[in-house]
Amino acid sequence: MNLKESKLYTVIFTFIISFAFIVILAFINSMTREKIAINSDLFMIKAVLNAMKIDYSTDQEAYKKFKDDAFLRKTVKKSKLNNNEYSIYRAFVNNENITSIINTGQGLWGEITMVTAFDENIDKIIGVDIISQNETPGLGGRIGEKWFKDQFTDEKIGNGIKMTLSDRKYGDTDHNNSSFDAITGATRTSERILFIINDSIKIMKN
Amino acid sequence: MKNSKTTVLIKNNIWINNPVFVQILGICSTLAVTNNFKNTLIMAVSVTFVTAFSNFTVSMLKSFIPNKVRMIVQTLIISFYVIIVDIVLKAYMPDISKALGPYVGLVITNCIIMGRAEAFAQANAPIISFVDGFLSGIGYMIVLLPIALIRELLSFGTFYGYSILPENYISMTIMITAPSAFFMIAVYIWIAKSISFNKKGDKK
Amino acid sequence: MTPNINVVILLFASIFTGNIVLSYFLGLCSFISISKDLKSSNGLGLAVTFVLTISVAICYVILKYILKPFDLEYLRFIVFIIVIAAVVQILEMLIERMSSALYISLGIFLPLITVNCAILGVVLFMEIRKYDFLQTLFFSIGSGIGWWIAILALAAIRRKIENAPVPAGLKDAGITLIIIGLMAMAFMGFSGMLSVQ
Repeated sequence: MNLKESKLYTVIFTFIISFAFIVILAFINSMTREKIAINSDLFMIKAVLNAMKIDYSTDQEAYKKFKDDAFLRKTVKKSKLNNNEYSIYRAFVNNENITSIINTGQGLWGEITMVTAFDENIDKIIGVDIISQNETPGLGGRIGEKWFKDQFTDEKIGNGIKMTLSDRKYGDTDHNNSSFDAITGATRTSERILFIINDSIKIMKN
Repeated sequence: MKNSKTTVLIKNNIWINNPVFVQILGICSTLAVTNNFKNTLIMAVSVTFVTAFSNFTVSMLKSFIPNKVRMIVQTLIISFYVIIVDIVLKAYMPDISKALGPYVGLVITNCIIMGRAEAFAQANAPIISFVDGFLSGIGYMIVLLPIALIRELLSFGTFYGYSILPENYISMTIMITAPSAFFMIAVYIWIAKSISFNKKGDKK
Repeated sequence: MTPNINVVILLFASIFTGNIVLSYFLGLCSFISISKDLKSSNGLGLAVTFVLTISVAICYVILKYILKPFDLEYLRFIVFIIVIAAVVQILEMLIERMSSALYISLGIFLPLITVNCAILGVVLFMEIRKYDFLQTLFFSIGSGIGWWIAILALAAIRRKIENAPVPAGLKDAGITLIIIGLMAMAFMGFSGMLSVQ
């Protein structure tokens, strides 16, 4: 029986190697922590700007515009419908007063958090964007793709948004019919998006 | 001498003993994302990185690792590299990190990595173990990338996110969903095995 | 924030509509290799369900009360995999001491489970989807049963086609993957039945 197989050596070895790895990981983690935190803020910031059709070219510019209180005013609104609090952003973009709301709803597996931006009278949607979602990659996960979100750009609200099923490749491009195409293979997730958007409309109107 | 050893390794890892064809190992963590070429590429590169470096590390430490805790130390080494991949993806490719979700972490349980560490790195020098790990990663890639390419093309008409099929192409929903991945890999194995059977037949 | 999902629906959804192996591709390696034999499949299915439920619950507690308060979430992969390995090891010892009959039917499969991605997969899904303890419990039991049902079905079908004339290149692995594909399609039929809400 050599030293290598003794109990003491095993314990010491396991301890040292775990310690060494964890120190290295802690170091890497502390180096990138700030960047990861900024990244996760940026997801929200970019989503708000995208939905409101505010242009930005770099991450820094997006960050600066978002933090500029004179340009983008943040308020918290307490809904009379369900007593929940919602973050509302207002800005004057392209000669219009645009309001956007962050709303969270149930997805197929977890939560979907998204931004919906409206014009002054809540007559049409300016744009939407997804902040976070846990839908199946490649299926429901496609709600984050541009063609899907573009379906809502300048969409008339009318009596509420409706969902249609079709196999058009780039979705519903008619922006006056108050409807959008569900994602093929992910009808459930699309229904959830429909629900969140109509919920946001209700909150904004009341 | 060393050159010929490398050639043998290339042949073994990529064709003769390709872990996916021959043993159907390690497809779990990546098969799920094969409906998107970009995600598959990142996953395959991560697997290659982790296999190569964990092979290297296991080989370096092999004379110090007590037998009793061998498996757990190997797992520790593998998870160490997977965490690095996870952190790097989160910091520098946040969009992809989000799209891959839990599948990055599942690289740890990819049987190929553990298998190579146990079968090759335990018995060989660090550099050659590194090459071996790298090559099994490549062998893994050449199976999964074509599958991802075909699935993305037929389901969305795109390649790497760029639209290449004509506008009026009707997407095949089945290619997006799980069953198509199983069918594709079965057909792939069928073709690969038939080719190797034919070769054997010629020799006789 | 915890998603508002009914636990009973979550249980059935994780067995049928979101089957861990047929729609998330987790635990495929042992799924294909063990399904040659119906009896072993049954044993492994039971073992997976058992280990899954226990280790996911332990991981939940560690994640919530140790990793999150101390800001150590970046170490979670290492912690999870070690918890799984430890649970498997302890269970193996316990079963060996308690009942030799159980050890013969279950114990031999336990070492296989540490590298079964289904376990780690469920842990990671639980973390990403932010389930609470009860949801986690039902989700992991459901996933285990889902895996169990799938491997039993596959083993039974494989026994049926054992002597069927299959092209040489498609034998064994190839035809098994095609069966799994067909099973996945069949399970997709459940998706209209219930959804998680």
